Amino acid sequence: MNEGWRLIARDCAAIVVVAIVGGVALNLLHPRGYALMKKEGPVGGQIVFIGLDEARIKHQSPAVRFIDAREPEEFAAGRIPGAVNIPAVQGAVPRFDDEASPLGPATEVVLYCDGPACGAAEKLAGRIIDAGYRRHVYILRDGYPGWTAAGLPREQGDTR
Amino acid sequence: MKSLKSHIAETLYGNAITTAVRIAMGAVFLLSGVLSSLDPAAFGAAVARYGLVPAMLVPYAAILIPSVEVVIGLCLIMGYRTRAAALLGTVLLATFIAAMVYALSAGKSFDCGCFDVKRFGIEFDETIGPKVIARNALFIAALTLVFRARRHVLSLENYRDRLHLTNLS
Repeated sequence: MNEGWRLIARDCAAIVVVAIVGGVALNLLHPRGYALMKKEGPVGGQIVFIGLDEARIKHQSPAVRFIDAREPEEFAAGRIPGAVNIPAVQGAVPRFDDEASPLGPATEVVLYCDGPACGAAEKLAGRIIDAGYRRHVYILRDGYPGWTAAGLPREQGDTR
Repeated sequence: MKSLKSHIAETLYGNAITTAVRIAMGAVFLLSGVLSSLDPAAFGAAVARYGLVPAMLVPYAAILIPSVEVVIGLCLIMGYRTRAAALLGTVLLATFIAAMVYALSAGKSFDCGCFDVKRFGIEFDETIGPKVIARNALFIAALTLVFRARRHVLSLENYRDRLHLTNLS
């Protein structure tokens, strides 16, 4: 590598290092920054990943509510039948004490989003548990793409 | 009167036009980085939507990408470590384009998360698609111009070089 490219590589490394230090510092000071250090486990439920077979069985139970963590436009374009939409970041976490709520006392919840690499369902699950939900929060590992790829029923239409 | 060829040669070497492009691109990166930093969780959700970053690494990407953009933006505006900043900016934009193409091929459609101006009530359609990809490609062309230039007017590097020459004489 000639001298010119070596200097550019050195400068690139310097920029990245400054960005990492600055980014971490900003995140620590940010009121809505990420908690990068693992904090003590939440008091309450755990996040449990489930496959399609288990999700299909749970879907048949009236005591189980499916929650779609994607954006409203995607929810309207296609969703698991009976699911309610709570976008992962902006959606309001419903109350726990209302029987009619998706997080009602007798209700089990299964969250889903775009698939294995999508973090939206996990993010929403974390918010629900942080809000004090004491039951397990299930996440459909393969998400909506996995559900449709298996030929399972779906619905479309206005958001709820 | 200079010929077009001569104007192009001057621009490629580095003139006021190159400087304007450099500063404009710096402002674009700075703006994008600052807007993404305002709400790390929202930016993280946008990163997760592409489906390329494992869920465990999303928070780190959500912290690192905006801060890299801010540093690149500042370097370009000030004209410091200019070529490295232009190169890193190009790599970042190429990665964004690849991520969008991947998401589009998977049939996804969502806001790219490039400039989060909706929080200020400004309606700006940034749904991933050919327009956003073309815009990023244009930015890459602009950064290539900056990278190639040998002279950067109104830059810290230029000032430092002139100072060095003054001290030598």
